[in-house]
Amino acid sequence: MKKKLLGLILLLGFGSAQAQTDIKFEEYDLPNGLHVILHEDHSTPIVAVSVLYHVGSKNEKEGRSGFAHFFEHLMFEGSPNIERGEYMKIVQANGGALNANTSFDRTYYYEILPSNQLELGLWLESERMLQATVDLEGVETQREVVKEEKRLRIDNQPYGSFQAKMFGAAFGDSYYGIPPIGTMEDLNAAETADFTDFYETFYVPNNATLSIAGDIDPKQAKAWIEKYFGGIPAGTKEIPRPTEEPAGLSGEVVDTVYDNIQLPGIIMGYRSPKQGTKEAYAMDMISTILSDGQSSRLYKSLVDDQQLGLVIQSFPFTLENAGVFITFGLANQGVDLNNFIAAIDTEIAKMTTEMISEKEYTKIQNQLENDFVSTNGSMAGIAESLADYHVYLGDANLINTEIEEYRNIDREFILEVAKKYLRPENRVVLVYLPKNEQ
Amino acid sequence: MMKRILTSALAMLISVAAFAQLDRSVRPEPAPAKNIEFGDYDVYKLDNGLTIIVVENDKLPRVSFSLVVDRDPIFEGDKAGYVSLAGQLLRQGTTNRSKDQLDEEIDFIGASLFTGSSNVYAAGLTKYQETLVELLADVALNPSFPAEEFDKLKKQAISGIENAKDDPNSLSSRIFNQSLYGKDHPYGELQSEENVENISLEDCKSYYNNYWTPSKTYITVVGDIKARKAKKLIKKYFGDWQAKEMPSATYPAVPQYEGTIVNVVNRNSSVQTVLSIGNTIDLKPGDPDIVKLRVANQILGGGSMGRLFQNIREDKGYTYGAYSSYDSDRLVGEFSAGASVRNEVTDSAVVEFIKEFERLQNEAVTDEELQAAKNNIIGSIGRSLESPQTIASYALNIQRYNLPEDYYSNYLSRLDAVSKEDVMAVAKKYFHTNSLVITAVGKGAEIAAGLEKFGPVTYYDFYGEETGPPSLPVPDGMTAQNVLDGYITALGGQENLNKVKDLTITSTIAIPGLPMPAKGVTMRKRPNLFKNEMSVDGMGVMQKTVYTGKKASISGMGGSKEVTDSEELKTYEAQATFFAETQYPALGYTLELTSIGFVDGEKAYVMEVTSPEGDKSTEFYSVETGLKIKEESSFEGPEGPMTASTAFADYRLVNGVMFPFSMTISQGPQKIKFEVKTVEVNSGLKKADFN
Repeated sequence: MKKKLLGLILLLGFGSAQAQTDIKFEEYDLPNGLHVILHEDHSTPIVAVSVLYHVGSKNEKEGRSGFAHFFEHLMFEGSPNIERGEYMKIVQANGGALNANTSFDRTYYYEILPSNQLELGLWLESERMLQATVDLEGVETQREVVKEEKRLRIDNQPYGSFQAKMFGAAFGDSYYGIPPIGTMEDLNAAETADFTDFYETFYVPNNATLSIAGDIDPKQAKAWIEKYFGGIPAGTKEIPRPTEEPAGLSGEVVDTVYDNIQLPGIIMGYRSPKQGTKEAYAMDMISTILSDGQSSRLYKSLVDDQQLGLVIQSFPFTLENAGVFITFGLANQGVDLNNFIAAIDTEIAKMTTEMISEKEYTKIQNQLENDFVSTNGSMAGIAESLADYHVYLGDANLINTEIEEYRNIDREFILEVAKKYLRPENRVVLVYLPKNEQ
Repeated sequence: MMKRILTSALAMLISVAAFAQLDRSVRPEPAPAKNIEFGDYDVYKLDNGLTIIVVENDKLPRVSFSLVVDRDPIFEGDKAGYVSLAGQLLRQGTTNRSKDQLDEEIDFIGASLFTGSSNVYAAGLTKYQETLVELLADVALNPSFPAEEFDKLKKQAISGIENAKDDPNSLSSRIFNQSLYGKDHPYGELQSEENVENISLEDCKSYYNNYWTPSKTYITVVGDIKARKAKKLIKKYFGDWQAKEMPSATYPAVPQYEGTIVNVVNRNSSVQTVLSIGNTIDLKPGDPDIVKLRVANQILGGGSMGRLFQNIREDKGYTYGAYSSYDSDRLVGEFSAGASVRNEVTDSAVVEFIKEFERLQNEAVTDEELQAAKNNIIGSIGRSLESPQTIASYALNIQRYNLPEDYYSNYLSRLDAVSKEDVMAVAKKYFHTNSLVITAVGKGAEIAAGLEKFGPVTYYDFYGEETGPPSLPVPDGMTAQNVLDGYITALGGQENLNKVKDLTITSTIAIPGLPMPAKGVTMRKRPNLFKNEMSVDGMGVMQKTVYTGKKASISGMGGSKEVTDSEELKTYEAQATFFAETQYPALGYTLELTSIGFVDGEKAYVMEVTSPEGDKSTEFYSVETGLKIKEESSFEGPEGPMTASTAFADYRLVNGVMFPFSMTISQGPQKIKFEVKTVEVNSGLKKADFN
């Protein structure tokens, strides 16, 4: 009897319980403006130490594209207390891993260390914030390294030019018009004076968030944070921070690119709302409907049913002040690209004319819930999400509650947003054709 | 207002004071290290032989099921790709569900489910755990192999191959693997569109029927689930699966190279060379050398602290990243290193790679480096244990490879015991610095010449077939006349050429089959006297050609003949003309500059030359020096068209004019080598000397 009852309870539980995450954290500001976020978790003896500087390619001066990212490379060159080349070695020789990345809106540095090395991590990051060394030797070596990175990720890759072309067309000559990697010309042009100015303007505590997650004793952590970061003076320069949304498109932009590729491809980008807005969440849901999973509309229609494509994927690329809703597809061998594009257009048009079904709505809620639960699987991921939510949306607790934003959006609103943004006049279409068809 | 200024001034004072107390040059010491816990797992075996491994972790409300069939690698031959196609087909429908239904049900619960040739992975929220197992079992046990989906997958596979053709990394791994393991080995065979066309649905079905058996299958379960619950669910859905005997295979030996070889895949659009350097190794899972090699590899190229990264990126700036890795395998393992480097430093980068391999073999690492590498490895193990999947993969390895139960829990103490001598010893044993396979995918024209110093260069295409050296388009504005002008300048200038009134060139000639070298003498006198004589000591004159402007006489061992036919004489006239190339247009030749090609790795302008009589030949002028380095012509041989070529090298200055001191005539496999002994200019030859 007891067993049966248990089964019944389980059955009732099925489907009704909504996964929740409960990531506890505390946050505070130092007098110099540094924002600190701490998350304590003792399940593995590791700690993620990260610093987010609120500076990305959108803050670059004209003629200095790629500078924020180039600068990120230089920030591993050392300080008066860390010899050139030692920064990475110290972390790794002490059992840690480290890296950094630069986007349109931010530059992010992190170390994942054995938890008994937390103090080391704080010392390293505080040296970077207080007195990073930028010398000519470092500049010249890293200039070459960054150029190799550009060649590796972009210039030597099939379809690699799409970023520069898409953002160039979608955002014109605004601050989002050139991707963070920049241009070779501008990379060559960077001078020593630029570096000093950039460092003093942006690499200051009042433009940074220190986010720590893992096996920490918060009391001890706070004492060390005060010890290493408390004495770093706040920046005195004004921090240029563009907030106006780049002008919209004045009509559909279509460009054909002949590249060293075999399969013709298509990349569409609809200008879309900035991150954190209700409309942006709706665009996420539209993307889920269109291409998340093999039952998604684009996949089902183009890959499975009509067999026009090899790959079809849409993803909402949201930025601090704007967004581009990108759809990327590769046609199958021998398929006329026009048919392929027409099939995509049919599915997108359907999004703007018909409300999604109840069943689809439930499905995407489940998919989003699964994604949401899965993102918080690592200390590094938690530290990063906390910092991002704080900096971009002013609320670190979205790490626990953002799923509610999706639950609050109904089918009517999804249709409304689709209508508003998925218009041909609001998009860039890049057609990629093999060079030999030119 | 006043107060506010005061407080901020005070705050500044305080912070300055705090700052002053801190000696930033002192690097913080670590707190006492915590133990790394490897975590527990449970293992069950069902009656049909299926092994279940469960790692409980309730941190997040999700669970994953990973099924692996432990089979031997399969050589697929002219149907390369059928095994992976069979794996994809599992996801395309079951006897209970169509593909649409599968798609819908998986997505509806927000789950993911992937299939491969010997695995299925399903993951999702814990609340859907039974649905996940049921889907997993349906896909793994009841595939329907729908014909329509099969055709679709073939089409996609062919598109996938097309897409890989321009991807430098695909090109690199294909050609690298082919050389390492050999074309007839499962790890070295390459898939083509034709192979895909050859695959039948029956091939896929029989693969599945032969190889999928519970006795060699492991299901690892990780996440928010109780071990007993997991076992119960799996028993419910997999308990009736019948065991059978699985086929086993034998494999050809992998190639052993005498010396280092270089493979070049030409990709004209490349702005970087993808370099892969390595060799096969004999290293099986569980081998005691593994932990030592891990340390050696860590020091060499395990990350940004590695010597390769520090040298090639941080010191030289050649690349964004340079790394090395090794792989243990039951059949044959691999050591390899690589980087993407810009075209012009390709050979320099290879030099640095090999230098670093050898340094590790010949010099002991420092205590500091050794400790740093060990710390790094301990740290990465610590980090990886954050994911419960790591414990699961350790548990699976113990089962699959029959490792001792304590293989991983003892790993750290074995790591600690690795010495400097161990590092050197494994570097010597596993880095075959004298017989490496080097694969470079890039702009052949710019990189190939520099790679010849490492070993013979062979060019391959996407399919692993040998191709000749690549050619490049002629730069805009460059004409045949420019090339000839460059040639004249390179020879010493028109003025110096004009000063040459007569010429005697003596050489020794190595002819295959002749026991002793022959002696050759060529004499010329302006305007058009020409004599060519070849003799062998003790045998006298073997061949003699004399041209006097009106007639040509040819004599040799087999007799002699005179040529007076005006048409035929024209070829002799051409031979007799001083520096004929410099006067091509005036002599009525038509020239076409077609491309930039290669002569033994040297870049050369390729010029098609057509004589007024219509004879065609191809001439190669070095891009670098301007000198003519080769000429080629084809003619009808007894067994079809043949090519004869003459290569010119070792140019030396005589009386202000460059002369090639080495000439090699090749015709089929036969090579005749001329080594010039003397060049005499203006020695006062008389007309009477030409008889």
